[in-house]
Amino acid sequence: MNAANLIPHHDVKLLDEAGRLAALHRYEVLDTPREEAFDRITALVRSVFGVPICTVSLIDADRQWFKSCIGLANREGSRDTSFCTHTIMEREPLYIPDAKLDPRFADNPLVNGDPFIRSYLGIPLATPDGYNIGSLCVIDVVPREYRPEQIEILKSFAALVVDELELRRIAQTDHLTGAVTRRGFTLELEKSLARFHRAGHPTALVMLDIDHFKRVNDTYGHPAGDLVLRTVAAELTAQLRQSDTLGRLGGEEFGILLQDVEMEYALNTAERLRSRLESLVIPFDAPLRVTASFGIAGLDSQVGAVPQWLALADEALYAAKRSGRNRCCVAQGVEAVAPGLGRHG
Amino acid sequence: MAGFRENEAIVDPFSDLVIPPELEESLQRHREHLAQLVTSLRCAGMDQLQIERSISVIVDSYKEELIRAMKRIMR
Repeated sequence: MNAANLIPHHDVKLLDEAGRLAALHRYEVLDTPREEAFDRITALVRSVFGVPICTVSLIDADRQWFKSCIGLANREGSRDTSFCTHTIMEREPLYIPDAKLDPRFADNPLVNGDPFIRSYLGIPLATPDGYNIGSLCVIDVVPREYRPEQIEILKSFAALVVDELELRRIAQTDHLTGAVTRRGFTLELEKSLARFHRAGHPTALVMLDIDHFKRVNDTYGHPAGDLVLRTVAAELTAQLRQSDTLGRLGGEEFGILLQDVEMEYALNTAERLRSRLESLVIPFDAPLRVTASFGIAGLDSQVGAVPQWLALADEALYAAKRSGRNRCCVAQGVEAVAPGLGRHG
Repeated sequence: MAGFRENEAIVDPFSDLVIPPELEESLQRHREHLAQLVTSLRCAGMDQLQIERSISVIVDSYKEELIRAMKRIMR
């Protein structure tokens, strides 16, 4: 029997790993520093349950990562041995009174070695759109029995942890366009840069600026300008992959982070976006048309900090503006591959 | 009224605040989850002092992020 037979037919989101990871990444929380807000909650839960360990665990593609972790030294661990990986496969809590008596966990290295988990109670952290991105769990090194009322308490705390994550996400969203704010986007760039220097994952940053945007505002007023920004952001989002990040960097300037792509792919993507924006007709009192200029910067070992990376993309963007607008320029020595592409640097 | 001088213009820093539906829904969910927590703590036999302490921790954590979200929305 496979996993699909075990899960209610209507609950397809429990099997949608790509959607689940996209939901997790929307929170932009992985690899962020510890935060008192979450640590206070785990400390409270630990105190209420009288256990040595409590974590807010998020399940990434191949690891579990702790946004908050009281009683464990590490901030991440392998997904293969993680109890919380099992928790996110169900809607209901995962309750293991004695791991040594449970055939799923009796041989687990976390049971037979440090931290010597003996009992576990984990509640899935379910997003409002139904994806289990992680778990709030209490762990003890001795067998523990929990009453249904206690399990209900942990469920309530888990819902409040998701509220905290949601609010954090809302605070990082630009409410006019739905894009990530500059602050949130910069955090994503920092994580990508760290990943590049750690594991060499190729990543590209695309910056774009709507050409002559001030004219739209001056001629048709700010409602027209807002409509243009919303429409452009919606079109860009529709054209991007779930793993890409769109940020509004300010005014009419946007950033796009393309993960795990070579420069040629980034260039083609930018050119495709440029072409889509050029063909948009935005219905207003008079139909509005816009174009945008693009600057693209990949990563190499010389790029050591996010401001440097942003400056490279920005220079390429201004090269595109200077050379006539409505075109793409690259910051590093990558050949132009399409008529709308230019080369800079 | 005490605290205000007559004819003094009162600037309301929140006058431009329009709470987006997404934030309203989040606030509504948080209220419901807080109520569920109180109910579950009561059902488990926790005393009033502990319940108040728990609520205080949760509200304080939420408050900081809420202020940040509202500042962001008003910008």
